[in-house]
Amino acid sequence: MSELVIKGLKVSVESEDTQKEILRGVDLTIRSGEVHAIMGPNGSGKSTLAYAVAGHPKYTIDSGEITLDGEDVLEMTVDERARAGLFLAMQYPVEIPGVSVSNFLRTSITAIRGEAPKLRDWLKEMKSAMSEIGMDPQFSERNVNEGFSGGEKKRHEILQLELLKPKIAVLDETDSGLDVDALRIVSEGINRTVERNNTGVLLITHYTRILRYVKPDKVSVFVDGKVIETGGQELAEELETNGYVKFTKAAASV
Amino acid sequence: MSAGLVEREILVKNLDARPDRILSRKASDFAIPTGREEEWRFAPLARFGELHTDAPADSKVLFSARHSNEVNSRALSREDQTSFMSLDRIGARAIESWDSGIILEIPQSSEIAAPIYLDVLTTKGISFGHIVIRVGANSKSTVVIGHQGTGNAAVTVEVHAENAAQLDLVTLFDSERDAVLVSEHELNIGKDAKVRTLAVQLGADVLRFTPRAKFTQDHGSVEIFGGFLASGGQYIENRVLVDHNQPNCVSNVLFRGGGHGENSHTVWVGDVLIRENASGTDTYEMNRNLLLDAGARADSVPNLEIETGDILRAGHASVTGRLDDDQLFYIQSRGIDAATAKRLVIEGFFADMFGEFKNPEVAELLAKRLEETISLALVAQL
Repeated sequence: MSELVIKGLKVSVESEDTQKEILRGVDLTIRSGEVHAIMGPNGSGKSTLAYAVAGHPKYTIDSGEITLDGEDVLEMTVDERARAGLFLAMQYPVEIPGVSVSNFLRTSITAIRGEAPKLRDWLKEMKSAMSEIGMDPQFSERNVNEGFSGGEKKRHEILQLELLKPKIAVLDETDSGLDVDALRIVSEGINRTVERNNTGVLLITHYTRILRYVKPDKVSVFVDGKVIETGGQELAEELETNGYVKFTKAAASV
Repeated sequence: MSAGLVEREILVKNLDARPDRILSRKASDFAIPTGREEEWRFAPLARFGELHTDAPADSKVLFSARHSNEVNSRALSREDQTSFMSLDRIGARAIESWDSGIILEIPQSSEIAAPIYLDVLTTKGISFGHIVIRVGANSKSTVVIGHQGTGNAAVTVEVHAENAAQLDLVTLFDSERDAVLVSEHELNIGKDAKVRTLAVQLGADVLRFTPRAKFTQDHGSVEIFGGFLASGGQYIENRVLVDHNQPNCVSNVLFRGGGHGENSHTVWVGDVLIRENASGTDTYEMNRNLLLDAGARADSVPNLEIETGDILRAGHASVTGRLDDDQLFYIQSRGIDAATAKRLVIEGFFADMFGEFKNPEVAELLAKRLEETISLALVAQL
């Protein structure tokens, strides 16, 4: 049983000469096997939360804490966080020219597991994971994310999620830019990860669409750099009907 | 295109027609450079070890060849015909005053599977050498010139690719870290001949490489690829000239370079000249540089001189960038440590430099030396 605990997290980003505060005190707990959806309008700071957990150097932690099973995540480098069991599926996965998917995945798996998998076992494992997420095996010889469509990039993120088997995964708008079929396939991948690996998922989205396929245990509304309200699936349904207006107003009046 | 690099792609017509540019075999046709000339404006002449002045040779370039007996090689003599013309004083000094050289003859219609190695060793002092490679019609071969040693040397190379010959010419510049090496290549490309060259530049203190291609007839094709990685204090200069002097020829130039450390300086100048008679020309040149830290400097100057509009394509691009934080973050977020992440990005950057070049023995040799040099670059960064 793992637990990612975020307490009073304040994060800013440097823009021109000033530090701009984006997260204004976030409290969240994500546990193994649990899907926790974070929903909020554009610009509410959802992606900043994802990057702060993963340790992107662009973001400055002003105060607060993040712990994984009691260990101080903020003290860890980006790669140490991943090896500790954190995973970030990015909204805009980065292209790495000249580095093949298979080389990238094998290097990553070796780092996460602490030893290189046997080549034959590894090829089998990668092939079967690729087939489950509907990726042509030829993708393993292509350069990471280079020339991938939006949907292919997202499948590739979920492929990594399934192979790396993290304790806690932050999925940053994995549903954006997907057509209905791709959304279903990607959602199935997320569900498999929760079932098979007991991964805890922080599912960041601004649409309720993906929640038809990935059933959240908790839904939090995220506005203006904080969690405004937390509830169950019914909260998502309310957002579907009424939008964020009620919450953005509430945030403005605080 | 990779994120984080500033892309600049331009098509220029009639840029910089150079009436001052001459070709000669006589050093006296060129004044001793001062550093103000276009050819020498980047070069740290004080470090050129008198190669560019009047100082006579006091050392010798040593040549040896390793190949199967289908191929002939022997010491070059002054009786042998050479056609080489230089664009500058150092190359002219070499062709005028070389006292050792080698000639390699690949028979026509032969298909030489194993790579042909020409080892070039320079020693302390000033020396000049010359290489002649005659590639028979309809032959197919791979030649690897390996530069090693120290001292101050200029070694010139002339290649004659007869009709429909196919030649892969690899040059590995791997001299000692205190060496000064100037290398000028003249590629003469016959009808339907296909010459692919790849220069991998890792060694020397000062390295200047000036490949020049021209066509003896129509429908020739040349690829001039290069990769270089300069460390602190090292100067690596590449000046490419493709002279489209015949119709319907193809040229493709790609140089990928990196630099790291205080005062590492790389220069790439790519000139393509499309003459009035060169209708149907298809040419593209590209230089990409990756600066690994703030100490590294890269200059990149693509030039295109077009005297006819009746061509298929003429393009060039130059991109210089730094290691991309988002790429490194993405890789590290998959559990891979910072040094390995950098290594992946740098190796990836150089990956397509090998182009279609697939000879396994030579590719492995080059990849290994490149990896070693990247490892040293990473150690220097820690």
